[in-house]
Parts: sequence; structure tokens; C-alpha cells
Amino acid sequence: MTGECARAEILAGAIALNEASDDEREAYRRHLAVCVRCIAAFGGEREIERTMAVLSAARDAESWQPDVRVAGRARTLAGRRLIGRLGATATALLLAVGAYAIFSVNSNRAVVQPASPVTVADAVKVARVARSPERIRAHLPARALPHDRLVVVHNVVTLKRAPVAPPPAPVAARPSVRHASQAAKPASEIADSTVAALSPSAREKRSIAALRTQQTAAPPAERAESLAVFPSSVSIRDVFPLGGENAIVPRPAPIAYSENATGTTAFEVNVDERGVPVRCTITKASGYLVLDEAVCRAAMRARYSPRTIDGRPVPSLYRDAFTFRTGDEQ
Amino acid sequence: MDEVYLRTDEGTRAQARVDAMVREYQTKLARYLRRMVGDAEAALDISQDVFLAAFRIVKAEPERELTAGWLYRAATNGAISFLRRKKIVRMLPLDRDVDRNAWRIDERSAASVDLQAALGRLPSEQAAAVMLTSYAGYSSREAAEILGTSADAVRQRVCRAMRMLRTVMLENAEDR
Repeated sequence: MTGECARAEILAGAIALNEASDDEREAYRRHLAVCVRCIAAFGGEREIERTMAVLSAARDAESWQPDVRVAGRARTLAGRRLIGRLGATATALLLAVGAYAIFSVNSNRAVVQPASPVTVADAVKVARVARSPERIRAHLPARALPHDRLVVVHNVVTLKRAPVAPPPAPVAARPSVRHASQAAKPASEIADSTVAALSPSAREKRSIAALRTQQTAAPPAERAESLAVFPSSVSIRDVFPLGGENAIVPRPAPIAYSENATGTTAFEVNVDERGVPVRCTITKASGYLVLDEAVCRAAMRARYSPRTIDGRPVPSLYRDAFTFRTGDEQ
Repeated sequence: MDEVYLRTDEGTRAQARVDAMVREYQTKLARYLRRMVGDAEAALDISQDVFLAAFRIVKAEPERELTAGWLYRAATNGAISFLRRKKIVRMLPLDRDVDRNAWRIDERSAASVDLQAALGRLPSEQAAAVMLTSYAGYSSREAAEILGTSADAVRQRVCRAMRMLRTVMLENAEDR
């Protein structure tokens, strides 16, 4: 899989440069369908194009009209160099002072970070940070677990399948695939989803495992009842977030990373008939408030396509879950 | 006497050739460099060095054809060594992850910050790959020639740069 991911990286680069052939695009799509890491890291083709559009927009908006020759005449090359060197020395000195303050608090700190140009103002800022011990303490654990290491796995709580249906799709399933399969599911499954959506049983206590067992053990009577409510001829399209499952992107506060917070948060969102989220409820807490909050915040920010019954939108309940785990991605 | 005349003639010719190059490429080159090093003054310095080097080469070897690719290669090398010289400074805890909030607040005031912040966080060869292709308009193969690597390596670097850009964009979206 690693080799394929490396290949996907090159393909994504080709797509970003608009150089990919149809075959390459197809190969990329095929890889994304099975690789949750790559879809999280690079995004789909449209997403790559959107990201790259930032670059072309910046290029088009560029208004700087430098004149190399005028700049050279104003100050001789040697003079510019000298001034440049003096400036660099002064900045380095200032930074050395700031660095000394920090190193004296925590001597084995050696974080290499690419940074944009350093100005004197930056140096002052560093020195100020160095003088504030509680800030340093607050940030120390962040280095133990770098920001990129927390992996969020989007897994779908599949309440909606009949007992005979195959086990829930792996987390790697692409959103489009999932929604397509939902749209095409047989009438019995629709009935089941109705049961799940209508049954008001104690949601607060449910864990994902509990949900799954309940789903397999749905009493036939209830199923029959739901069939009576919605005959299979009625076309139901279920609620889903606009933009697919990637539309909900939880971003836990930095402390989650330093605390090594992991766990699964299951949640449901009440969506009104316009697709606006009204309320978000955590149905299974991950054990970390930051993670749960991040999930609900992200869920409330998304917009949804509401459940429709015969094309008529109705208020609906969207259920989903996120698993946070620490990963060894670079 | 003859020799002196010849040399001045070569000199003026070289001057004219480099002048033409300056007229045509200085804007593109300096903008590219400014994105690479994140500083207009430094970008102008490096562009001057590049054109000066071009002038020396053209004067010494009048037969030699200098292409735009050569200019970009020299500029990229100049930018990378500039950044390397600055590395001792970059290592210091201007550390974006440690003090992420402070960084975002004070950089937000600057214009076109998103892109520059993302570029500042990239290793220089990735920044060069993405700038040469998306900004300067070279294909991955041409960029590979300039950078002395393969087209696939350029694509890979572009992808990694894109990934960083995406991360920064998502962070900014989160802020709003």
C-alpha cells in the first residue's frame, strides 16, 4: 500500500499541475476509493484543483513591478550586500538573546521549523514569549506529539442496513460510493432506516457497538410497522451533508494532540427541512471533551441535504461518527 | 589596441543581451524569488546576482546561449542558499506549531498571507517545485530540468506542497 500511496502522490501532483492523463486520473480515483489516508491528505481531484487555484489567484493578483536595475543604481551591489549582512547580524544577535532565554528554560529544545523572513519585530516577539513561562509550559507537550500525528478516521455508523446486508463498508469507502449505495438500497433497507430514524429509544446510552447489535436484532414487528408507515413505493432520500462526508472536518483544539486524545465520538445532528443543522447531540462520547466539541462544532458548520420523502424535504436526523487515533503519518 | 576594441565591443554586446534579458524576465524572476524567500529586498538582491552572473557568463563566453531556464535555475539556487544561510534563524522558536495562535494573529494582518505562510513552512525544494510550475508556468518536465531532478519528483514535491497549502487553508477556514 505504501508504494501505491507514493504513486498516488505523484498522480496527485500531476493532477495539481493539470498534466494528468485520463488514465492517471482514473488510477488516482481508484486509489482514493481504497485509501483513507490519501483522501484525507490530498483530497479528490476537485479539491486539488481548488487548492491549486489559490496559487494561480495569487499569481494573477500579483502587482509588484520590481526594477532590478533601479534598485541596483540606488545602492551599489556591494553596499546592499554590506547592509544586508549588517542587518542579518543584528537580527541574529537579537534572536540569540531570545534563544538564550528559551534555552535556559528548556535546554533540549531543538525544533526545526521553516519560517518566513525574520524581522526585528519577530525577534522581539520571541523574546516576549520566552519571558512568559506559563506559555512555554502550556506548549511543551505539543512537541511530544506533533500536530500531524492525530489521525481522524471518518467512520459511518451504519444503522441503516438490513440484517442480511453485508457488514458496514470499511472506513475507506468514499463518500460518493456510500451515498450511491444508499440511493440504490432495496426497499427492505429503506424500511430499516425508517425504523432507526423513528425509534425514540434511549439514544444517550448507545455506543456504536450497541447500535450495531440493535441493528441486527431489530424486532420484525417494528419493521412491519414501518413498512406500513412508508410503503416501499415511496421514494426516500436520506439526509447527508452537502459535499459528502468530507464536509464535516473536526479540528480538535491543540491540547487534544498534546494529551494524546483518542477515541470515537458518535453524534447526531437534527437537520431542519432547509438542511440547516439545528442541534448536535453526542450519542457516544470519546472520553475527551475537546474531541466531542470539535466534532459537534464541525457538524453544526456543515450544511445538509435534508431527508426527502417523495421529493419533499422533511426535518431529519443525521448520524455519524469519527474515530480519532494517533497515527504515524509523517 | 585591437584587443581592447574587441573587448569593449563584446562588453557592449553582452550588456545589450543581458539588458534584454532583464527587461523580459526581471518581473517574473523577482516575483518568483519574492515568493521563494518571502522578502522583496532579498528577492531583488538575488535577482541582481543572477543577472550579474548572466552578464559575466555572456561576456566570457559570447557563444553560449542563456535560456530562461538558466535564469530560473540560478535564481532557485540563489534562493535556496539564501534560505540556508538564514537557517540558523529559521531554527529558532519562531516555531509555528508551538506558538500557532500568536503567529496566526500577527500574520493575518499582512496581505496575501495564506500562501506566503504556507510557502514559509515548506522545504525549499518543494517551494521551488510548486513555484516553478504553478507560478512561473513551467511543466513538470521543464521544472525537473531546471531543478536537476525527474518529472515525477517534481510532481511529488508539488503534491506535498499542495498538501501543506491545503492544511494552511483549512486552518484559516477554522479560524473564521
